[in-house]
Amino acid sequence: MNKKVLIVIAIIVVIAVVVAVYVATQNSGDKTNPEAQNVTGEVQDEGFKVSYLGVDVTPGTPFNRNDIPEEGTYSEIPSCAFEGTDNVATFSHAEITSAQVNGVETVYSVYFLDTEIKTEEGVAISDDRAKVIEAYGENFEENGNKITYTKGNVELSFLIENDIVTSIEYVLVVE
Amino acid sequence: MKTVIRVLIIIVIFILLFVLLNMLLQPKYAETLVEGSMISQYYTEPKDHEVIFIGDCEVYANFSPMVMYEEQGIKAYVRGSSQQLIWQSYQILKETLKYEKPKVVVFNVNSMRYDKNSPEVSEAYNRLTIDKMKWSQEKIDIIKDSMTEDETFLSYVFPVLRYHSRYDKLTSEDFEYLFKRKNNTYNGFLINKNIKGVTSLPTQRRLADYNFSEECYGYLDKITNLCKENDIKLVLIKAPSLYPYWYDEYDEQIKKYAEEHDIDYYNLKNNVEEIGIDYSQDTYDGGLHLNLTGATKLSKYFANILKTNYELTDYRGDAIYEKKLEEYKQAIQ
Repeated sequence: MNKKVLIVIAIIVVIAVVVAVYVATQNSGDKTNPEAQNVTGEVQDEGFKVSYLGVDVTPGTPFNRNDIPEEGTYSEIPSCAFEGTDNVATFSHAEITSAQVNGVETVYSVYFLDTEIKTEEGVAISDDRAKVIEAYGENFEENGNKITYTKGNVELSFLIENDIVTSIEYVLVVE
Repeated sequence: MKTVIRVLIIIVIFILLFVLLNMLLQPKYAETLVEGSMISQYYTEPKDHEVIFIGDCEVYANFSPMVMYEEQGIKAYVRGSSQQLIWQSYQILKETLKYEKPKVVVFNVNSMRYDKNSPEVSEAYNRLTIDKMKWSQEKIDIIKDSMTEDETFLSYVFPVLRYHSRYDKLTSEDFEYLFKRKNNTYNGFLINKNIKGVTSLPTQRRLADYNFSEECYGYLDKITNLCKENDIKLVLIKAPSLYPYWYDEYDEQIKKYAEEHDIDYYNLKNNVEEIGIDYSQDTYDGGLHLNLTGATKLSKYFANILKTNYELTDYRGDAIYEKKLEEYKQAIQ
């Protein structure tokens, strides 16, 4: 072997390392950062819409709790180990969970608390399953008592017990 | 011959650089995200514990072995980690039994609620539990059991494949702790002195299914059997916390399992008054975890249960533990 062989070996090793790093990290994103894993969606035009007391609170949209014309109670729920928190605002008829996404407080989920609030398509807690199907159709995923519709980057879930809707929640689809 | 030596030298240099790069780019968990260092701190400890705790943040935040030692002379260690899932607890217990055989294993059952499809399962938490484990069959198995769809086994072997993007986020911590570690816990207990009392809590959501998965029961069986095979008393607990909600339906399932398998189960949520926990003062995050004062109360209470029921030795006066206790008392001042 001569100098040329040495250079070739060195180049091969360097290329192998670079290729290994490149291949293994394709599409990896920053999954070790929990904030990056959390709420990353953006509102898409075709997604479900939801409002509370006239204020748009569709998951993925910016949220300012002071926009809601009603006093609420507020709690922060930290994760086990990280600095990020979910901010939970509980109002009379709905609970809105938001989190910081790229520096903007963003709606993550909307959970209906009673029968006084309806979805944009007119379904409320205490309605029956038929009304849900009539409003949203048959294209849903079913998991136990829960049926979930996905539109855009928002999931809309209904918990149906004994043919009655007992829970309604909108959640932002996370990547 | 000279050429062969040159080639070997070049290869060795490349390997060393590659190893160094891996070490440099991997998070150190020394000053930030310290939860990632907890699993490895165990390796340098004397291995003569009579009680081992396994489980998630509800063990490392809530149970202080040094308080248990001071109160009852118990030698305990908390092998907890953030969002430690039950399949991870099983492997960590297996690994622990390679080093020592405790009289009692205490498992916090909170993780029974999460199966492998739960959104709470994430690479970020996997890394905190797995990254600093010593290489062993248990580490290989825990990686295989824990990996999410986007993870690769190779990235655990060569952390640079995952952490390459940290090159522009390196801090002084990465250089200071390149060749050394920092112990952030006291026998696995992570001190938190902050106070953030409970003001309000999110609404308790209705769930589509309250049943624990077969998968989780399978791992609970494995933990149960492992303890039986090693003549270790398994004790199940649910640490006190106000959130996430521990549903009655969950509790009933654990009670039933414990009865069927002749295992003691303590849902310490039911003893909050007796323990003396005041959620306006004894929590650092609004009711999820106890702070130092809360953990001290709980540890005293549970140490009494352990000592009364499980024939543990009173080690008070042990030179090593007296020194540890002194260090602990300095740390909590």
